[in-house]
Amino acid sequence: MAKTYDYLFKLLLIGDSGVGKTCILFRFSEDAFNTTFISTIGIDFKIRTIELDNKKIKLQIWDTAGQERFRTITTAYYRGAMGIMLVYDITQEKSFENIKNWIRNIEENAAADVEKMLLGNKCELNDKRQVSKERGEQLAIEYGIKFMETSAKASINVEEAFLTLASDIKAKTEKRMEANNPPKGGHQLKLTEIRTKDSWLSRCSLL
Amino acid sequence: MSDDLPEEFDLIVLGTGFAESCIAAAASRIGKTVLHIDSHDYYGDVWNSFSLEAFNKLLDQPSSSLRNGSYTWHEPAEEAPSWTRETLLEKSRRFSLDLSPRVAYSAGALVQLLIKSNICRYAEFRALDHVCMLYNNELVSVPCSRSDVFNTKTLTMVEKRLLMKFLTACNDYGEDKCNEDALAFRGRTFLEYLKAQRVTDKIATCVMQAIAMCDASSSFETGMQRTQRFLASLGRYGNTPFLFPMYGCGELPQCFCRLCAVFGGIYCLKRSVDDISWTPDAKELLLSSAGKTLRAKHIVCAPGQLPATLAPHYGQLQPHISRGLFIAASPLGNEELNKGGGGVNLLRLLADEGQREACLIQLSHYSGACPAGLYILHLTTPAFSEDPAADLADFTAQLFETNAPQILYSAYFTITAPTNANESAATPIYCTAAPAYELDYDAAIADARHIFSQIYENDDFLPRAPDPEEIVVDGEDPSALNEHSLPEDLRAQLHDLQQAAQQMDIAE
Amino acid sequence: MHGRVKVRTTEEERERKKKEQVLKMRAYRAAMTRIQKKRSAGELDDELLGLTVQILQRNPDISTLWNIRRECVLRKTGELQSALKELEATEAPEATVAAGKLEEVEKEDKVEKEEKDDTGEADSKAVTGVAALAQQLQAIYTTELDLTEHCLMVNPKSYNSWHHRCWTLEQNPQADWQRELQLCNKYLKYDERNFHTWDYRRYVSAKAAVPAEQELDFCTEKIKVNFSNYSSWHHRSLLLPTLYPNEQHDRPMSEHKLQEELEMVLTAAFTDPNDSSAWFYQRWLLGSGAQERDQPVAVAAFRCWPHKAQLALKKPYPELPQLQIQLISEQQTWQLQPWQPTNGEKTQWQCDQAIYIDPSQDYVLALAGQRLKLSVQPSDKSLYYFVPPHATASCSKELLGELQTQLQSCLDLLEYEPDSKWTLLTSALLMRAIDVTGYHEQSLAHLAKLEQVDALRRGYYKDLALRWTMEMALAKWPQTSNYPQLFEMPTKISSTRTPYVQYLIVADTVSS
Repeated sequence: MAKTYDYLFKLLLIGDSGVGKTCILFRFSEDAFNTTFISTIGIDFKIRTIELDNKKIKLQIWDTAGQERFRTITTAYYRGAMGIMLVYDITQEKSFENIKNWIRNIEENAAADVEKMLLGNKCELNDKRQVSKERGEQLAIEYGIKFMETSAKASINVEEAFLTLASDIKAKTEKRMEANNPPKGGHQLKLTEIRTKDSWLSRCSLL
Repeated sequence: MSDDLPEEFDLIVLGTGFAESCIAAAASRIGKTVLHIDSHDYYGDVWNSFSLEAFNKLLDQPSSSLRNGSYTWHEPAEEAPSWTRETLLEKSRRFSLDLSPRVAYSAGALVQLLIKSNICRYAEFRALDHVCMLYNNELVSVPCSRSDVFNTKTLTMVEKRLLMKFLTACNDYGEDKCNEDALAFRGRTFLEYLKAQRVTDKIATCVMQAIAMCDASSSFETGMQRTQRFLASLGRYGNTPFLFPMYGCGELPQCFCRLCAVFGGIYCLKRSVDDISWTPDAKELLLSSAGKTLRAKHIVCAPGQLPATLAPHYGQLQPHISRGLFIAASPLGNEELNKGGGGVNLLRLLADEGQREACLIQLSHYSGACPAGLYILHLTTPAFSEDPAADLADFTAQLFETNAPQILYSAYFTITAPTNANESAATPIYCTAAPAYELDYDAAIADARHIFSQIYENDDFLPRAPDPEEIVVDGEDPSALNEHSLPEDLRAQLHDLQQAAQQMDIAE
Repeated sequence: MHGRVKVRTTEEERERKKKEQVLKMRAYRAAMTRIQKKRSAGELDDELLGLTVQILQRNPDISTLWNIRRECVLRKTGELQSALKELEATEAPEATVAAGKLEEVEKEDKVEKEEKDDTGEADSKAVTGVAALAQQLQAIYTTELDLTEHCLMVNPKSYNSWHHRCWTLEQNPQADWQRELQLCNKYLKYDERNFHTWDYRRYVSAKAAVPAEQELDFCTEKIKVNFSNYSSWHHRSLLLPTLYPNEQHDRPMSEHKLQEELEMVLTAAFTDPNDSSAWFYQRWLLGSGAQERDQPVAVAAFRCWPHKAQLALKKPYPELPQLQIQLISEQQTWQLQPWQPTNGEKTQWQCDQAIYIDPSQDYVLALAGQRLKLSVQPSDKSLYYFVPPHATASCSKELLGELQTQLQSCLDLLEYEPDSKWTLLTSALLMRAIDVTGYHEQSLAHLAKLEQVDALRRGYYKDLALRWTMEMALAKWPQTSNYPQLFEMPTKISSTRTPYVQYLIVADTVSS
């Protein structure tokens, strides 16, 4: 019942099939790497609470549930997302080229002010590299977003990437709160928080 | 599309409308292999929400499930000269225009299903701001809670007491089966019961039009049941008993699709089906699509997605629902109903002395379905002709003559339904029903549940999906405690502990 | 690709929970052991602070840990303050100006600062300067506030957390009271009935000098959201008398405001008659609350013979012997003392003192700033004072109109619901507020009806009827020919526990 965090951020992972989105997710949330959980079904997001500047931030990180395969990601997936990790595989040229399509997809469906970050995954496979780090950096500059090369397998930069994204979102959120302009929506209600307060019958009973 | 698609499935579902998506999710959830395809390049079929541009395109091209489409741009209102056709189209993507808009009772079938199945985590809702009624041609808010009754200026002190007393009695009704009222009013109408309570005319209108949603012929039991449904949904989320899905009703089928995908269902959009055939014992169905043959044990199909070769089995497509959709630069009703930039409001309209009814849903930008400063008015009524505008004329007259909002755009269309969708014994394909005229999703859910139980007799319909942390990853010891699943502060503490372990004695 | 999802069995889940519990326990014990060691060694340092955080975050109700934190904070702030004083004595005055603007900078700098703390004295540049020291001081307070805020999220009714928050703010001369007000708003939105938050709000709004009007508006908003809220009605009852004072001091607030309040509360009561909070507030409004508050010692009756004096109070006042009570004639002043209570409630007192009474003179009883003029009892030439209970309060035409409208609404409702106990009682109270004498019989009839329809509280209604009857008899008594020698007890009263019995010290005989 009690809220034990200061902020809740919804983050998305986006990119072609096989670039290692699920592995990144598990590396960050479980500090584990295991190729078999690719086939683990039923998991659509993972939660990890981090602490930044004394604030507890609950990160809810959503996976694509395989819907990227035929480019059938539901528009609903993008709703309410505050941050997006765009992931490509440095050993797959095609996955890098598709980033542009994914960005277009994001522009069409996600909120305009969503915080984005570009990740070139599998950087431990340097000998199979098809996309240079410079090209990744260049693309990121083009879209004005941050960039990192990561390896879910060798645990390189995964933690850093999420902390960077979370801290950028936090800064943006706090700036907006200071301007007394909280995120819109009046009272959007999650179904899980049932309140039984002002019903016809609820009242203090005494006398 | 590179087709590395498997060729065999337990279930293939055609159409990503509400009922189809429910069935696909339910099958995938119990471990069936599911292929879910749609001939359109979007999710939701006739249950989807569209951008303004896509919506116009849809109206321009009649399809099997949607026809008689037309739309008109109106002269920009003097009070809001900035809203022109161009400026509206510029914000096209900010609109979520529903083909089949609905609201959900907070304790109704949809909400219960979403919570029970854990699909609620994919959706967000806005509590409706007001349930309205027309009283003496004036649009007024129906008090929906103790605080509403307390604050309203439209009821006198005695009326407040009478309304509260009446509703409390309805709420308590049935607890005692030998209730005097139950005996006295069995076989009589709800209106008679209401009159016997000596309530004022205003309260009677309030109850009949907006709370019990009855007409003069509704039985005592029906009225009581509906009133109780209304009351049971109060006090849960917002000030009214209703919720509206943020960003439009088109989100809901997608939520079910997401669950289906999470459990391994495969999705293909923009994929039409040429023909479906089956083995003589109907144990296996063959579906040909894009030069490929896919095999399935069962097929579920939306009425509008049937291949041309099979459609005749289901009879002719007839007008089913007449729809009007208006974009306005001002809301319906007074400031009280539209605090802080506009309300998300519901109004039930009656015509022909209560013989016909229509439902109006007003959406402001708080619903996420349109830009700030604009309002969407959804008008829905059961169709009785091929002319949706004519079907709705009585209602638009009531609405716009006295409460005239500044309308910028208006559109009309008809949603069709096959004449004999239910008598589909001629094929082994399960055909879902077209969107019914209803406020909530009760009929659509019942339809999905019914088809599911026909296919998977003994299986649970959408049991609760586990939360991610409950799931055991392959190869993991299920009773092991992963350090990462501990609360962050405890983890930090244990880390410190480990470091300090050498230096201190720890009382275990 | 497909397959059923593996979910932990309840057994496996229980085992995991158990393991987690063991870890938590171990962590808790280790931290507690360490805390006690450090405390007894007098190591009131950052590490100790850190250790208490770990436990308090999960269990904010261990007061010892909050005490330890206060010790640590005092030590830290004490050191910083003395360093500050030293520096201020030497440094240029401009530097102090910066300290005022610190709070804004402070947040962004915190991470940086904590790192500095670690490096300690080595980085002497970072810790010198008045501004830097003042900034560190504020950081200490902010940490405490952040912690209590977190603990209050875990348990919004944690006495310890609220208390620690107040303590921290009291320590800090630059406390941001506006921020605290925002915090109250946030918490009251979450739970508008949490009386901890309401108490805290009163404390904060006094500190922040929030105009009472603004507080009243806030209160009104909360009542509009949910009027089943003792706390916010109570908050109102504290604000209104100061905001809208009553000139005659015989009603809790100005008549105009009272009218509005009565309408509001009756609306609430009509909306939900079973809500007791509105009901209590209404009784407060209809009662003459102001009178009683202004005079803690309210004299009901007094009688003085040559050898003793008796004093009857409206309400118990155990501290009476400490008061200076004087009997004053034109020639002489007597100090009346000592006083002994003669009944258990301490509403009746006696003083055995010899006084010479000259019936031809005027006597006055003076106590607690009041001067009561005494009369002479013709039978035994004793002096006496008597005022009947519940003198009618002033009532303007407008207020009377409002009360009459309300009474009419109640009577209308009784047409529909003749047995509504709540309406019966309210209308009786309204009648008495309009015209006690005129409505006497009718209000008693309502009570009689209530005894039937609400048998559970028969005793309460009986008592009330007794009180009203007695009040009427006492009010009429001075007009009777036998006054003050003889008081005729109303026929209905036979109970041994007669209300207002202390008023009868003035009478020689009480007939039944």
